[in-house]
Amino acid sequence: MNSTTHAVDPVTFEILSHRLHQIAKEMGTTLERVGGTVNTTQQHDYMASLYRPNGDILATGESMPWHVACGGFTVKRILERFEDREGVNPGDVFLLNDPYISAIHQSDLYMVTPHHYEGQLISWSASFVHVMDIGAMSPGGNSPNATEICQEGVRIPGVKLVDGGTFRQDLFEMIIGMTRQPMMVGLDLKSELAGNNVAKQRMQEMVAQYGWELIDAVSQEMIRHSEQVLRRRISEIPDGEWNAETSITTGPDSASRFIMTLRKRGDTLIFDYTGSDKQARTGINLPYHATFGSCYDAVIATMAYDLPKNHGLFLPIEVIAEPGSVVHVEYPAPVSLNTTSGGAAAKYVARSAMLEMLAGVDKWRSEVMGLNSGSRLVRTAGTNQRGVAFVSGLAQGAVSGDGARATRDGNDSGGGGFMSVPNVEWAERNFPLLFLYRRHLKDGGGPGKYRGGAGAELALTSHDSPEGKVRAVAYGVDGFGNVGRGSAGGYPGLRSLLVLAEGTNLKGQMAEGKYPQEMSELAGPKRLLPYCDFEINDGDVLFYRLASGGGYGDPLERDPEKVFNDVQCEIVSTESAKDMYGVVIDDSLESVNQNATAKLRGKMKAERLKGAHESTGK
Amino acid sequence: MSASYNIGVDIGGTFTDCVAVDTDGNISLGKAPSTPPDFSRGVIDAVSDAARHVGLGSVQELLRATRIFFHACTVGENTLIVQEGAKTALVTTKGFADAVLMTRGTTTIGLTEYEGFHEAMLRKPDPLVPRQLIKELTERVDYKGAVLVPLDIEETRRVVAGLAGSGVESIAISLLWSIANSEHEEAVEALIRESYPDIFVTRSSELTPFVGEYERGITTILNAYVGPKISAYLQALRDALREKELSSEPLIMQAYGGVLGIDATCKSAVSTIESGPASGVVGTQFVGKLIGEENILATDMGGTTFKVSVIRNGALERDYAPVFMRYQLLTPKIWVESIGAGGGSIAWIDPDSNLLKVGPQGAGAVPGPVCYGVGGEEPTVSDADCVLGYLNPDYFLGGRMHLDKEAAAKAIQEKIADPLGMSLLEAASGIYRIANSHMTDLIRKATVERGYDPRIFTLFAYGGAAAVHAGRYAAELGVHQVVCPPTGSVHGATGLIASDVVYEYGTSDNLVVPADTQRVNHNFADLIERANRDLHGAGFETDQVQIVRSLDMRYRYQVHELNTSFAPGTEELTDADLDQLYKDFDEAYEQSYGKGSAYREAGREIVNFRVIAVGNLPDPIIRRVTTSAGNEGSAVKAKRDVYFEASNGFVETAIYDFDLIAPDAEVHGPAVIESPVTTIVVNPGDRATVDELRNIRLFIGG
Repeated sequence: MNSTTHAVDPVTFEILSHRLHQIAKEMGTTLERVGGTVNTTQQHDYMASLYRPNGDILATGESMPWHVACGGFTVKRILERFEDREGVNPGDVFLLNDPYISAIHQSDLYMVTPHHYEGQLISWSASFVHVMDIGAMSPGGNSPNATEICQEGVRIPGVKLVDGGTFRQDLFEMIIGMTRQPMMVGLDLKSELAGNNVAKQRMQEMVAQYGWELIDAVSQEMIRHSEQVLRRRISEIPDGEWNAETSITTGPDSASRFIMTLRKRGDTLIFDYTGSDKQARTGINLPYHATFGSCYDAVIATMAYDLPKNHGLFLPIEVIAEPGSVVHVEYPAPVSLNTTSGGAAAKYVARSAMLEMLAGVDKWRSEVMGLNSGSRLVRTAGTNQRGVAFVSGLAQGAVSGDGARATRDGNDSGGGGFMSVPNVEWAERNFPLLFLYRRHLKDGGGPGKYRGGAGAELALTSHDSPEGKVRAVAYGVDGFGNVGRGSAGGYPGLRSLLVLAEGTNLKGQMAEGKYPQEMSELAGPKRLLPYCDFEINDGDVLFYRLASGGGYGDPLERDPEKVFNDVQCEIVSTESAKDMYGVVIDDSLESVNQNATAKLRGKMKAERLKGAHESTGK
Repeated sequence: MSASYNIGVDIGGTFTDCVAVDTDGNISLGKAPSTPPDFSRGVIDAVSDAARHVGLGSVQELLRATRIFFHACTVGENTLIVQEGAKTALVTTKGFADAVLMTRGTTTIGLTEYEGFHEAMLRKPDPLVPRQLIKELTERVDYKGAVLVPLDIEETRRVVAGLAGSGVESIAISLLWSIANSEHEEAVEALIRESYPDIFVTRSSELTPFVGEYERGITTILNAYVGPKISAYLQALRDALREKELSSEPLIMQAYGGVLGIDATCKSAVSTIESGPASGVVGTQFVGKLIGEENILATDMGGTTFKVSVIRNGALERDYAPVFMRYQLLTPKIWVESIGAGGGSIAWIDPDSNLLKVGPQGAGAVPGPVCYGVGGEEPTVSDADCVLGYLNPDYFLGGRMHLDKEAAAKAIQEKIADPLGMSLLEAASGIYRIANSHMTDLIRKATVERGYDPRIFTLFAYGGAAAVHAGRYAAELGVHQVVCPPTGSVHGATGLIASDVVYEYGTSDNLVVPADTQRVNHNFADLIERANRDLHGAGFETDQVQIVRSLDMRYRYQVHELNTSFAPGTEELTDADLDQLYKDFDEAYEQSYGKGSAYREAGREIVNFRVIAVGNLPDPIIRRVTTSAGNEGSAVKAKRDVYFEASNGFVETAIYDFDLIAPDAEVHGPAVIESPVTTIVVNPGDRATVDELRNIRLFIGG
């Protein structure tokens, strides 16, 4: 976009762009404060952004990049739908959640507010929050058994919830009435209204103070600046192509493949998903804008983290995804599981290819890191120990491990970024659950010169449940085909799993003063949980392993003292120290046996060479 | 009768400040360089400087005549920064050794948003205890306090012996659900104290009995880590002061805005962290009370940070879950928000955008701004203030330090103006304006986030650099009046002498509303008993004591907890008292979080019980000046060119000597008022007066 650049002096630009940015942040803060739900405040699962009159994103605060990208389509869809029909008028507020139009899945309810000043459209605010229920088959929205979108809850293509300043109470009651938690969803909607209104008021104040021309000139300059810098950074990288692919389970004997080629041409990045599988009958499918968001996310996290996130960062990115495929879903395929399954896969391939590209460039090599393959997730529902009905996520995703960097180990239980995990005490106080442990997984992090971050593992049972059980939904990514990618010779991290042990003798053991800490200590049948509804009955124990991060570099080059330290910290077993790292720890467990280590590493390297010769036929 | 004094000593990054006030309300100031790591030398030096200003011959003479000695120390912060705390271990429940390493999972706490999006750079804060020194004990208690697995005492004995054998100096005990049943933690503590009396012990259920194993655990560890250092420092200080003939027990500032004796402080040493900024807010509250201002934005601009706190209806706001150095803690402190925007904040050009940026990186005390002439090479906000004529090179800190204006101008010219194709003036005023806008945005954020409209507040400006900028950020916020206390950069020390002895107690008990009144009273009774015991132990009579009970409550399904107080007193609470509190909570919630934010239908829950126990110390008397010491004309000591945004250039401006401004005089902007501890800029169109307490009152817009 080559818009005319108005002369804005750099100081005024800095002051006003900071202010616009603050407005977007204030929207987010308002959402968190008014809603006050776990999803919004702790999972950071919301979006709050400011837009130019034409629907281009202007500022996005601290919203997650892939949400921002999806939101980047929202205002435009409303404009297309309403501008020539009912009109976009002062005092209107629009509501939509149709995944085929703009949302990722129906649980994300978007609220879109046009801002007018003296009758002129000056800007927009849009937000979404992930509501606690949307009237789908399964409580909470993620519905493993849904095979078409009509089983996945309320679907709104865009309606005026507020029409020229009049709040449509009838419509509001109808929508929240179709969910299992009308009050809670109502509160979420109120929080969005409040957030959007704050932005509207601030924008009107700004235009009153500085005039529309100056604000618009600053806005265009902000977008132009982001685009220009990103294009320059891209153009400095040699042209080329990089491939990545993975697959995830979609049913008892089905899987979907995600195939992607990244083409770098001049100052543009083209993410081409051509060849990915047809859309699935399980809700792992992504709308096009969510696939775009996955790519945008990969670009932001590596080469644009420091740039103002606005429409300018969209422009150098092109995403190709065939309609009717897992990365461009069409009616009537389901989507309710998609953010954490198909989304995890699409992000994984996009990021993999990006990192491969950046690994060849000095300037960006420090951004290269191993990845994890996304985690399983669990939603729980039932009656708590105080007799109150609940629907809630276990929300453990934040304690997955992230990948090793080019210069240091990954973060153990640190893969969540802005997300956070509830304290065990908080979970046990609010829900009828008892955790046996929550700890770092031993041998989870991918071996490498720098080790991948260990994910957490935990075990829990139902405790003090008036119903004697907790209902649950297993979702999140299942059966990831290419586990937690390592880099530069590093190994992958372990993938996430859910195992249910049924009818164990846990209670009996605890009555005897024993406190089981391993799955093997509990008798009873155990099964892996696919996408499914299930129950945790008294005596059942759910074992839950989060994903760990991939390693970086050759594990045989890892400093033996670091391996020894990992053993002491119970992150690496003595067996893995030996088998993966070639490090021999003395039987006393008090030091590294330097001689034995040197010998073993020499032998392992020789074996590798031998293997290489055999495979090349020499 | 000879005079007697109350003394406050506040340690800062560069200087240690002392305020001495006599029984007639005369204030004398003292200042000396801070002397890490042995801060007590700087303390004695600052008192010595104050003694000179009082007109006494020696430290001994002043301390001999001192009734109360108040002190805020930064030993805790310093210990963390140089990472020289005690060798610390943690004992915790089996299965949860990694809880404090996991944190709450998030890797972005305490980062700016751009840092937060930079994935390759994300990491967690240092746990302070290596995993090898975290030991698990076989035991398990549930949320109700029921013992599911009893504590294995033999195993505990072995674990503790092992830690002692490896040279551990301090042990943190934090078991799951010790807040519901502290028997296991107490047994572990008893065992350590009995066998290893030299090991410093911190028990979570005593220090911070609130839900959340990460925050409780890391708070307990932090206390264990800094506790031995702070204890050693305070005991050495007590000895040093005794040797200089101080007869009373020094009182130590806590981050929640009250003082405690040395022994009580040593137990909960973590609470001294950030007590310096708290002193400034307490001082603001005190001055506000004297001049009848109840709604105040307290802004403190020092060398490295800009801090803002809110006083509402005369009350301080507490933060019960503060973040410090990226640790999420559960120890009460006065709520203070800060950004890296001080006099030392560095101005730079973003290479990608070619835009002028200010902060958050700062030059600190060393090398400091270029104009300080101690090695700083990067232009800072203070350098801009100097170039724009706000700061007087020959009268900075009353002439204590000379400013090199030419060097400042050269740095701004070469590093900012030339690369951006601007004039020196455009660059310097740009730095000034951007710094002001960052401060405006922070104050706006801070007030909006608490549901307040900044325009109803009076703004206080203190810390060395605040009064140079306050007129501008006040105008931008729509604030009408700015108060600049005469103690300026040593305002924190003023807060100390205005402090009361304050103990904080709490307990966690999750009750559904309507709660059983008997149980509520029972929970409070334990806390009140401890409060009375401690206050009487500290020498307070019943009529000098005020006890305030409060509850942290929330709506079920919502995460925000809000503290609401009962009327002061200790009488049994009735059903009517509780009903009133629930109503107050509803109102306060919507006031804080916005209209329509309260999900009442979900029902309310009580989360924590709190008691604040205050032992009232007599407020210092501050002398009121009503007689004219001069007049407006004679207070003008010079004229110089000063830049003003409104004039978009330099204007010949009258420079006033603060000490000579008459109480009934009015100073009309443009003007600059200079005192030995601060510089106050009066912008064109604004008006300044001096009140009876020698505060400068700036009226924005005249």
